[in-house]
Amino acid sequence: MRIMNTEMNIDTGCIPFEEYIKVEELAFAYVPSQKICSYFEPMESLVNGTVFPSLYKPYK
Amino acid sequence: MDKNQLLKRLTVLDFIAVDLQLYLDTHPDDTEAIDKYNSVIKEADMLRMKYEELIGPLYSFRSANMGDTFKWVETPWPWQPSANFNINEEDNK
Repeated sequence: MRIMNTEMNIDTGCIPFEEYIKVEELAFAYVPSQKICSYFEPMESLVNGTVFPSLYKPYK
Repeated sequence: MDKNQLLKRLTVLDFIAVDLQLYLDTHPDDTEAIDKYNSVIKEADMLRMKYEELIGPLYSFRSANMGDTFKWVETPWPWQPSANFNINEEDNK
Protein backbone atom coordinates (compact mmCIF):
# COMPACT_ATOMS: atom_id res chain seq x y z
CA MET A 1 0.00 0.00 0.00
CA ARG A 2 1.50 3.33 -1.05
CA ILE A 3 1.86 5.47 2.11
CA MET A 4 1.30 9.22 1.69
CA ASN A 5 4.07 11.38 3.07
CA THR A 6 2.83 12.03 6.58
CA GLU A 7 5.12 14.88 7.62
CA MET A 8 3.18 17.66 9.22
CA ASN A 9 2.55 20.72 7.03
CA ILE A 10 4.59 23.28 8.97
CA ASP A 11 2.43 26.37 8.51
CA THR A 12 -0.98 24.73 8.88
CA GLY A 13 -0.01 21.89 11.23
CA CYS A 14 -2.06 19.65 8.99
CA ILE A 15 -1.00 15.98 8.91
CA PRO A 16 -1.97 14.05 5.76
CA PHE A 17 -2.80 10.46 6.56
CA GLU A 18 -3.98 7.40 4.67
CA GLU A 19 -6.22 5.07 6.62
CA TYR A 20 -4.69 1.62 6.89
CA ILE A 21 -7.04 -1.09 5.56
CA LYS A 22 -6.63 -4.72 6.56
CA VAL A 23 -7.38 -6.78 3.46
CA GLU A 24 -10.24 -8.98 4.69
CA GLU A 25 -11.03 -10.86 1.53
CA LEU A 26 -9.58 -11.13 -1.93
CA ALA A 27 -11.42 -9.63 -4.88
CA PHE A 28 -12.89 -6.86 -2.71
CA ALA A 29 -12.21 -3.23 -3.52
CA TYR A 30 -10.90 -1.06 -0.67
CA VAL A 31 -10.69 2.73 -0.80
CA PRO A 32 -8.57 4.21 2.01
CA SER A 33 -9.75 7.46 3.48
CA GLN A 34 -7.07 10.07 2.76
CA LYS A 35 -6.73 13.36 4.63
CA ILE A 36 -5.46 16.03 2.27
CA CYS A 37 -3.19 18.90 3.39
CA SER A 38 -1.52 20.40 0.37
CA TYR A 39 -3.19 21.79 -2.72
CA PHE A 40 -1.97 22.80 -6.15
CA GLU A 41 -1.79 26.50 -6.93
CA PRO A 42 -5.10 27.76 -8.41
CA MET A 43 -4.11 27.96 -12.07
CA GLU A 44 -1.95 24.85 -11.71
CA SER A 45 -4.98 22.86 -10.55
CA LEU A 46 -6.99 23.90 -13.63
CA VAL A 47 -4.09 22.92 -15.89
CA ASN A 48 -3.52 19.62 -14.03
CA GLY A 49 -7.21 18.78 -13.83
CA THR A 50 -7.26 18.40 -10.06
CA VAL A 51 -6.51 20.48 -6.99
CA PHE A 52 -5.17 17.44 -5.14
CA PRO A 53 -1.50 16.54 -5.81
CA SER A 54 -2.08 12.94 -4.76
CA LEU A 55 -4.61 12.49 -7.58
CA TYR A 56 -2.39 13.95 -10.32
CA LYS A 57 -1.11 10.95 -12.33
CA PRO A 58 -0.19 12.01 -15.88
CA TYR A 59 0.89 9.28 -18.31
CA LYS A 60 4.28 10.44 -19.53
CA MET B 1 -7.68 42.82 -14.11
CA ASP B 2 -8.85 42.67 -17.68
CA LYS B 3 -11.70 40.51 -18.94
CA ASN B 4 -9.49 37.54 -19.76
CA GLN B 5 -7.75 37.47 -16.37
CA LEU B 6 -11.02 37.96 -14.54
CA LEU B 7 -12.74 35.13 -16.40
CA LYS B 8 -9.69 32.87 -16.08
CA ARG B 9 -9.44 33.44 -12.32
CA LEU B 10 -13.19 32.92 -11.91
CA THR B 11 -13.06 29.65 -13.86
CA VAL B 12 -10.11 28.45 -11.78
CA LEU B 13 -11.91 29.25 -8.53
CA ASP B 14 -15.12 27.52 -9.62
CA PHE B 15 -13.06 24.49 -10.64
CA ILE B 16 -11.42 24.36 -7.20
CA ALA B 17 -14.78 24.80 -5.47
CA VAL B 18 -16.12 21.71 -7.27
CA ASP B 19 -13.05 19.65 -6.34
CA LEU B 20 -13.27 20.74 -2.71
CA GLN B 21 -16.97 19.90 -2.64
CA LEU B 22 -16.19 16.39 -3.87
CA TYR B 23 -13.59 16.03 -1.10
CA LEU B 24 -15.98 17.43 1.51
CA ASP B 25 -18.64 14.92 0.48
CA THR B 26 -16.46 12.22 2.01
CA HIS B 27 -14.70 14.36 4.61
CA PRO B 28 -17.50 16.57 5.99
CA ASP B 29 -15.64 17.36 9.20
CA ASP B 30 -12.34 18.43 7.66
CA THR B 31 -12.35 22.03 8.91
CA GLU B 32 -9.23 23.00 6.96
CA ALA B 33 -10.92 22.01 3.71
CA ILE B 34 -14.08 23.84 4.76
CA ASP B 35 -12.08 27.01 5.41
CA LYS B 36 -10.44 26.72 2.00
CA TYR B 37 -13.84 26.05 0.37
CA ASN B 38 -15.34 29.15 2.02
CA SER B 39 -12.49 31.41 0.95
CA VAL B 40 -12.65 30.10 -2.63
CA ILE B 41 -16.38 30.65 -3.09
CA LYS B 42 -16.19 34.05 -1.40
CA GLU B 43 -13.59 35.26 -3.90
CA ALA B 44 -15.45 33.60 -6.79
CA ASP B 45 -18.70 35.36 -5.91
CA MET B 46 -16.89 38.68 -5.70
CA LEU B 47 -15.25 38.18 -9.11
CA ARG B 48 -18.54 37.02 -10.60
CA MET B 49 -20.26 40.24 -9.53
CA LYS B 50 -17.38 42.34 -10.81
CA TYR B 51 -17.32 40.49 -14.16
CA GLU B 52 -21.05 40.91 -14.64
CA GLU B 53 -20.89 44.62 -13.83
CA LEU B 54 -17.94 45.29 -16.11
CA ILE B 55 -18.39 42.87 -18.97
CA GLY B 56 -21.66 41.04 -19.20
CA PRO B 57 -23.97 38.40 -17.79
CA LEU B 58 -22.60 34.92 -17.10
CA TYR B 59 -26.01 33.32 -16.68
CA SER B 60 -29.16 33.77 -18.73
CA PHE B 61 -31.44 33.42 -15.72
CA ARG B 62 -29.71 34.90 -12.69
CA SER B 63 -27.41 37.71 -13.80
CA ALA B 64 -28.59 41.24 -13.06
CA ASN B 65 -29.17 43.02 -16.35
CA MET B 66 -27.25 46.24 -16.89
CA GLY B 67 -29.07 48.79 -19.02
CA ASP B 68 -32.51 48.64 -20.64
CA THR B 69 -31.85 46.01 -23.30
CA PHE B 70 -31.33 42.30 -22.53
CA LYS B 71 -27.56 41.94 -22.44
CA TRP B 72 -27.65 38.14 -22.52
CA VAL B 73 -28.60 38.22 -26.21
CA GLU B 74 -26.25 41.11 -27.05
CA THR B 75 -23.07 39.77 -25.52
CA PRO B 76 -21.14 36.78 -26.99
CA TRP B 77 -22.73 33.34 -26.46
CA PRO B 78 -20.91 31.14 -23.87
CA TRP B 79 -19.51 28.85 -26.55
CA GLN B 80 -18.06 31.66 -28.65
CA PRO B 81 -14.28 32.08 -28.40
CA SER B 82 -14.71 35.75 -27.49
CA ALA B 83 -16.61 34.64 -24.36
CA ASN B 84 -13.76 32.36 -23.33
CA PHE B 85 -10.03 32.42 -22.73
CA ASN B 86 -6.96 30.42 -23.64
CA ILE B 87 -4.58 28.81 -21.20
CA ASN B 88 -1.30 30.11 -22.51
CA GLU B 89 2.39 29.76 -21.80
CA GLU B 90 2.77 31.62 -18.59
CA ASP B 91 -0.19 29.70 -17.12
CA ASN B 92 1.47 26.39 -17.83
CA LYS B 93 4.41 27.04 -15.56
